[in-house]
Amino acid sequence: MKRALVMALSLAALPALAAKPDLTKQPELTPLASWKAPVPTSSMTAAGTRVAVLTEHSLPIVHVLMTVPAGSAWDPVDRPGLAAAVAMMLQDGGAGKRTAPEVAQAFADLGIEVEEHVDSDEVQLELTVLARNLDRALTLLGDLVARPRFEATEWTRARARRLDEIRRRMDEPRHIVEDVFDRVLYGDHPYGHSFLGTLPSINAMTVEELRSFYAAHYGPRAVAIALVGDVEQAAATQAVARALDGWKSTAQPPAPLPAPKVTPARVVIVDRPGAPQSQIRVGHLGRERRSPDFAVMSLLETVLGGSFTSRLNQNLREKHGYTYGARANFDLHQVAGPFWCGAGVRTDATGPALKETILELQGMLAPMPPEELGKGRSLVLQSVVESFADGNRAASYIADLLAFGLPLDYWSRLPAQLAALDVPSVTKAAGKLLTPNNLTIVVVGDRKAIEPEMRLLPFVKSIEFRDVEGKLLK
Amino acid sequence: MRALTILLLVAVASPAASAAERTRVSVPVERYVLPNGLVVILHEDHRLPTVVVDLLFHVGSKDEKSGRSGFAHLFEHLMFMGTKNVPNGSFDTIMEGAGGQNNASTSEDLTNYFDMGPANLLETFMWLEADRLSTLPDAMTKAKVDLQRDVVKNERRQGIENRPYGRVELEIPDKLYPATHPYHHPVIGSHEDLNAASVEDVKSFFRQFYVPSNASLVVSGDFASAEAKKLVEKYFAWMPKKPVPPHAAPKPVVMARPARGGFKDAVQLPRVVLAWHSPPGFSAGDAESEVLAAVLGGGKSSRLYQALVYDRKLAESVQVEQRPTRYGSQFVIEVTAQSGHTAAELEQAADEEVAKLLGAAPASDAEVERARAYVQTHSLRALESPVLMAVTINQYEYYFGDPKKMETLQLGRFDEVTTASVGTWAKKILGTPRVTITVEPDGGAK
Repeated sequence: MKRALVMALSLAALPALAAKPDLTKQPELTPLASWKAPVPTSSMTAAGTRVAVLTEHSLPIVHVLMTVPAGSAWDPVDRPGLAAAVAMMLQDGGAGKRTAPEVAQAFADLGIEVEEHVDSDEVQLELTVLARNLDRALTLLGDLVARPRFEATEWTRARARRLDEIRRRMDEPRHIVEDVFDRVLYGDHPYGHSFLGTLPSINAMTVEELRSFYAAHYGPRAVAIALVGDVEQAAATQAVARALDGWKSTAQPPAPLPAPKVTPARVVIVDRPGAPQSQIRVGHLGRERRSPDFAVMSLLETVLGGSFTSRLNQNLREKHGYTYGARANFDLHQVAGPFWCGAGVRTDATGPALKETILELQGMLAPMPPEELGKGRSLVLQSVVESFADGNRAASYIADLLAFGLPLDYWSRLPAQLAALDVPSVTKAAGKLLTPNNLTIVVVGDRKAIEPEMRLLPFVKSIEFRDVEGKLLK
Repeated sequence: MRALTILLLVAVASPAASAAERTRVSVPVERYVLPNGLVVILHEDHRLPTVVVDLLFHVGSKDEKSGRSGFAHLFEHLMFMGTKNVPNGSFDTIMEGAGGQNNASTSEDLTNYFDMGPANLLETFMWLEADRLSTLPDAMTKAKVDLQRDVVKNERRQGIENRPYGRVELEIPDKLYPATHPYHHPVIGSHEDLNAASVEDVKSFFRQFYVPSNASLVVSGDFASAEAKKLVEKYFAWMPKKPVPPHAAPKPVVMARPARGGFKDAVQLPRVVLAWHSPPGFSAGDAESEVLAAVLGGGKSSRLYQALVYDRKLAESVQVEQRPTRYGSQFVIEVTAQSGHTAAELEQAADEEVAKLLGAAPASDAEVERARAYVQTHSLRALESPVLMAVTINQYEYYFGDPKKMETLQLGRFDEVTTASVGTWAKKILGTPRVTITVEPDGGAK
């Protein structure tokens, strides 16, 4: 009877079925413990390379992010894509004592993939490595930036791939809309062209051009490096100094870019016959990364189009079913980056979606309800908190400070700046930062289906037609 | 950044090792089951003042009725459309108002809902999840279904129809599985079947699959387990026990003969996609499949990159993936042409490389070592994200009914892969008939 007894006991031990809780009542929030972003340390190698470190010992890996102020804004006028080609050839052109395939193999032997990111301002080289392999990884990374070979045969190969990358980008409506928007908004300004460049430019580009761009922009004083993880400041600085030892370049961080000029309102269609969706992008010039308005810009973009309950997403997706998702963003760069709202919308909803987008933009000028302001503040703060959970994101947050010359305790000061925002200050900032009466509007979609309804919109005075690279069509 | 809870006890990228020296990660969890069948898993992690609640339902597109493709995913969208207590829109407003966010995903096998935010939202997350799990159908209307039907169709347009090469993802399952197989139709479903979904479908799907005995709840982050248990008890223990629903559990498919598909698209470069049946997730051969994918396509030192992109200059890019699912996975090679080369050339060249791998030049020790390092680094990095950590714990619960397996398997299962076992599985997978999809430029783009 042992078995039955055990059963009886266990039945007796079972708690009575819990009572149904009152689900009509929202639980109260306990106050949140205050949180301070960790502050990295920093030092300089003898050669002048800035090294910032956030030490975290319990996982034996290190995230490494090198930033170089050598993005596409410094492309010569007749060589769009040169900066990105140089960045690609650091890895693909051979480096140090190694050919290109040997470079790839040497990184792979350490379980490393080097990712390169290029935007208008900077080139970033990013890798994650086991702490015990950090020195070897930095030596290899040093080869890429201080001892690249730019072999001509490798450029021939890489050029063919870059040309095809450009072709593929021109097949992607979501990229076309970005590139054409920048082109229209910035015109001849250095931010006005795609970082990948154009087919004729890449075709004409020579190894000598790659080398001379490299010589002018890459040097121990120009690069900076952020490390997050199982490494101490002193060891990191020494390892970086060793890895870049003997690098003679005198390249300095470049002179500031000119401020872009405000362009007149414009409506553009890029024709994609038969497209089931239109990609729309609506916006104007924003601000620079160092702007004192960073906190309020983060708040405004979050409330307008930075989360699920944002005004644009609620309107275009949840109210009208025009799209799978709508967003808004201030892209922040050395000088004023673009501010934009965007979505992929059903072709037959293109006109209404544009109209609703502009209404939402105009609505941002009215005083924001306090609870919405509170939501935006909480979401921005939480996104910073979460970035420090992930070593890669933390490294990019720190590299951001290095790239733009911001103080190392920047992220720990942000919560107070967010807390200081109130309805009057946000209203004032919105009035200054958003200009819904002067918009650049780009639509990539099926012209035949969308042009007639777009012509009926009150804010559409005339329409320009451009190709996938943003060139005006007659 | 206080104490990290993932402790790597043995370094990554060790050579093939016995079980005793496998690479471990330390992921302390407490698992228990409520009388109504809900599995609860607690993982304390005090690095940051945040918390994640991840609720996984054992239902996916494989469990859909015929004529209702895409329904499991449409249902996922409807879970956010409000209840009597939390009217439409409030689920997100309440959460985001305090800095929390949420999302969900649907696969062939599973539907996953996660909430993440400041630690003081833990009870709110549980309340919101418990509320929709107990009262959703009462407030379901045709208007809600219609709206999310539109949103899902837009998701299909954005992810597939208006995306270069996007329709490949419709062709692969169509050709890889027979029409009667639960993996035959794509997760996103067809416009036609989405149109057919009714409020009654929603209610019966909910009654059948959205029951505590068909779910597991992971709570991960900055909380005290004793507190969390009280909250779980309060919000979930009262729910009545309902039968565990039946799940489609198909047998692995063996293709008798190769199949082909393809289409023209608004692209400039041809692409060929090759897909084979491969072992189910976490079954024998799955770890080898991951390593094999890295040997063939993991980074610039991989076989196919070196051969097709670097040496022969036929391809612009290659991508190789093991896509694990519970009842049979897909092993997929995708090659995009450099301009001037055709899909036929790519296919022939890929065939030659596969033939070499299965014949004269099997994966070498060095290639397997590099691939192991590649795969283990990726597996480790996934655990740095709080959401992915919670989702991964739930994944181990789904596959093993035991989230502790994560400690020995997340990295350790790759330690046991040997050059010989990669060779054996390469033959078993790539030596069988496959699906070939070719995408050709439609000539419209310039």
